[in-house]
Amino acid sequence: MTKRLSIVFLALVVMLAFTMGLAAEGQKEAQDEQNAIDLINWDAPKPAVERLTGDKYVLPEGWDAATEGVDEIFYFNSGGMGGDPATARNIELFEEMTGITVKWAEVSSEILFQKTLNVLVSKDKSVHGMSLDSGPYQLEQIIGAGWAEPMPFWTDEVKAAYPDSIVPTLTGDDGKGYATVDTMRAYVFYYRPSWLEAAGVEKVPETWMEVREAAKKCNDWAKENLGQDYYGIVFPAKSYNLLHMLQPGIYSQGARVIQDGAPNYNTPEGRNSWEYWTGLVRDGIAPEAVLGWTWNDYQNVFSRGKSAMMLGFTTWVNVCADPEKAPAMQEDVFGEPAEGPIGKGDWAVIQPPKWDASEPDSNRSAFIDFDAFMVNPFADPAQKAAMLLFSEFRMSKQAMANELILEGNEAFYPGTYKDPKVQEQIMWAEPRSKSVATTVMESFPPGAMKANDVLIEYFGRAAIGEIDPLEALEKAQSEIDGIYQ
Amino acid sequence: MFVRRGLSNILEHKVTPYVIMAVVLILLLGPIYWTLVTSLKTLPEAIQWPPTYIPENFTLEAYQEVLGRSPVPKFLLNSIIYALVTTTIVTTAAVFTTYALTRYKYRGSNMVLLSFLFIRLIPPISLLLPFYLILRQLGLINTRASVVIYTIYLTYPLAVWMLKSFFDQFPQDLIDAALIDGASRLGALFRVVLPVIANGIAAVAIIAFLWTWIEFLAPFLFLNTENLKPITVGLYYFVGDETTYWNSLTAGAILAIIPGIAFFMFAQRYIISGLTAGFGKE
Amino acid sequence: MKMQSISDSKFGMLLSLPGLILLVLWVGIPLIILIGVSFLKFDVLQPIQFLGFDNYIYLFKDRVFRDSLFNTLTFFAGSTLLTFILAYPTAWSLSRIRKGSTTLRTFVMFPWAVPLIVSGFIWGWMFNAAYGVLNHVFVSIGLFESNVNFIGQSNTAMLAVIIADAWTRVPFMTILTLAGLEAISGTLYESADIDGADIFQKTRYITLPLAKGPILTGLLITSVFSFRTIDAIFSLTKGGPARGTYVLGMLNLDYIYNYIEFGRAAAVSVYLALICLLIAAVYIYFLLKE
Repeated sequence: MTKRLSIVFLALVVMLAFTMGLAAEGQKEAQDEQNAIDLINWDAPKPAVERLTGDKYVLPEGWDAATEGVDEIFYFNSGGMGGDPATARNIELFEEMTGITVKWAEVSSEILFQKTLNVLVSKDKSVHGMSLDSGPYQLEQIIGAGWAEPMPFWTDEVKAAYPDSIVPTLTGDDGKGYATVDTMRAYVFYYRPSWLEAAGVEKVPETWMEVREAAKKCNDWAKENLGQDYYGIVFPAKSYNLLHMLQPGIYSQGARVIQDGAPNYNTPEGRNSWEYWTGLVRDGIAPEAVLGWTWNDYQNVFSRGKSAMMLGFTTWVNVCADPEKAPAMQEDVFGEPAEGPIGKGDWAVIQPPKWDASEPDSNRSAFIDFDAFMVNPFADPAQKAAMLLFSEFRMSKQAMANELILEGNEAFYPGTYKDPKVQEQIMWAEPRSKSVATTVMESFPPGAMKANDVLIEYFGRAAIGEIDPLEALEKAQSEIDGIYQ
Repeated sequence: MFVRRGLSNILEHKVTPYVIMAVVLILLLGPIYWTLVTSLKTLPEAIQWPPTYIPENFTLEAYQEVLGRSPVPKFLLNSIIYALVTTTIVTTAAVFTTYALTRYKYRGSNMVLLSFLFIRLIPPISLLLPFYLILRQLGLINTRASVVIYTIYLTYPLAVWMLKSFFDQFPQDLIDAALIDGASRLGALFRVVLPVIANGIAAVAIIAFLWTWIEFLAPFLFLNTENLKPITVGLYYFVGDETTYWNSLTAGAILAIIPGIAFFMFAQRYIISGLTAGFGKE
Repeated sequence: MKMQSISDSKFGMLLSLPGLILLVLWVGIPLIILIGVSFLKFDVLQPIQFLGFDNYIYLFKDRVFRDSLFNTLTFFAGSTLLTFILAYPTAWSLSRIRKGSTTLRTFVMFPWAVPLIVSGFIWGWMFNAAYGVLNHVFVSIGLFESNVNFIGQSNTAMLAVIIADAWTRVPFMTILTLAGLEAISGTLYESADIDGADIFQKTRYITLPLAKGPILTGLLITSVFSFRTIDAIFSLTKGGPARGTYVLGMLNLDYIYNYIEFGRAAAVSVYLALICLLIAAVYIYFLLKE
């Protein structure tokens, strides 16, 4: 009898040990405390700004001592690597240079912020770097909470070399840089020439007022001639992507959202923009389905040939030009093969519209969307050092050239565009660079996520006619004011 | 009046139960069938319109992708680890606990039993936050222990309460007889009680296994790195920003369903008898 | 081992120690922490402050909280109702079928093997606006003219998540109902037949009263589970569109992970727990009432 009991106890003990052993799996051993990052001299062998903006990136001195013992680093990538050929190539280059393997998790943007916060709130050491897929709305909160590792390579010269619309967002109140730009997307306006022509649109729209008229004609024409699931214009109304439509509406009137440090959408320009976009859905020019579309969904609708127009990422030029990903683009609206303006199919790109004819062309502005990239301050020093090197590399001219050419992302380092080799490889260079020149960047104070949720919710209800739009905007703004009190 | 009588006659007809069952089976099994069918298609065929009800190009490529080139085997292994560890710990501990609380009462033991019942009424989702904070303090975020700790909390009260019915029904005379024969109290447990209520124990073990297997929120919140995730969380791997890979997602879903279905096919009577004994008497 | 020399009650205490540890450590402490945190301002950005009942009052007045409460009640009531509507006829049919009833029972159990998060994926796939098979079926039989975006509109989205949830609960409810039905002696029905009763009368006067126990227990468990499990909503709609399926559980998650206000998250959790207890109390009242 005692034997049986002992067996049972033994089994329990073994199981407990097993569990403990498994428990230890997730933790990494603490490494030596000396701050490895200090071993790096960022301005040697050349000043940081030269290392970054030369044709080839140069590692800073001391990098190997700082990252000694690090075989592998791990980060959260926004979305799948399949859509990130440039990132994959840059990872390869980094691995060749340093011998450090870069591992990543593909985290969909639906849950990326949650997972990132999880890592930070729980001081998890096992994730070394994270992408923030809506930088403008998330950065201030993260930096303010002390959750990003300072990046010593943001010297004053480096800051001067990068766009001054974005650099302040990456900088904390103490003047230190806390993030880099992972990928950057400007917006441009897409349309289908054959569709516009068939619907009787005489001139390519240059103002949002003209866009609406054109979209209505295209929509009516399509419903009669093509089918119920063809639309005049599409846009995303799910999640923060909606803001990337509302805000251009405001910027194109020359106004801004952030006033006195808090967002205010209930201004005259804000009301115009709000009524415009809810109106598109209420009047049936855009489908109600937009309420469930994210940045990926609505652009796919366009590249599958179901929409006449859209305000989309500059990256989407690569999708539209690819006969496998966008077979419908290779034909015009009548199903005939089409070469299109640049020989890549029946689609064209222009700068984003200005509000109406009374605005100057400098107000042909949209928002710039970027993923920020940050280093986990709670990771071990040597791994942080390695991840800092990786972040620095990704914003170099060399890496940015890959982003521009291989993925069609805009280059964070503006000088990339000037390189003639780069210029001959990108499509629609002119409208894109113009768009980047007039684009607006505003950075949102902490609490932006909650405010966005309120705005998105009221937009949905106004769009389907549940509430009067202006009333919805009033309510939304008063709730947003409550958040920022 | 006649309508009612007529309706009653229709309902009581011999064939009616079969008709109802046919409809019910379509509703209950249809989605599983559809998931299976989707997983046996190529991605273009899966998103084809109009959809095909039987795959035109029957293919196993989704499974090849899922089992060969994705982390799903790791996820499945993790699910198994979590479920097995939890089940073993919970079943063993529950057996001892319930035996003690039902047969060897002491002051306050009834309170303890009632507390177990009370615990089940508190939604686990409410305790996610404190668990998260505690685990974070202990540095256990992103470890296997965090999930197991949570699933033990989830399944233990139920195990105790289910076993209680079985223990209650067990005649004390048999235990007394064994004790008179010189067995120790634990010996009586092993020699006399366990063999008889083996059904109940099996039911408890299966339920504990299943509940741990299907748990999503806790591993989602407590784990960060891929190699620790169970299959329920892991399926998000196939939800991309670009496309959702429906054929692979459904293949993964089928793999996630298989253990449960296997249990039901082979251990059905244990589960049913365990459930009805455990719940039916409440 | 000298186990024999310990008294019975001490033996009981010793053996039930793991259970006690669980009670205190696993449940007691988190519960206390939960209630404690709910009285605090705890948002990692600012120092922790004691707020008294402020979090509760804020939530009580908060539109988002009230909307999500309403959604939660709709969701759990809908799911419980749908589960019962499907489970009762199923159990009734199973009780009348002799041949092959074991096989049928096994098949009925299958949805129970599906993790709720997977159920959300499966039904999300079937309800998909562009590729979903349900749209194809409905359009083919002429119910709708063109594809409906179920997930894109609040009311149909709520229906979709209710279906995804109830679908997994039917097997359990069926088993319990069946146990209740089978426990009723056939002779009662026979004598009712002699008296000329039809099925509605038999159900009302014989079946339901006698099977009340298992049925109410099943309903209790189903409602409590629907109330507190949000996995299906998470994968199907994530609380959208326009917060149409946004339930308290999702608000809880948002406060923990998106807005990082742990004090408010704790208050939401406490509200959730209290409502759960209330629902259970109602059921138990009916259970005990004779």
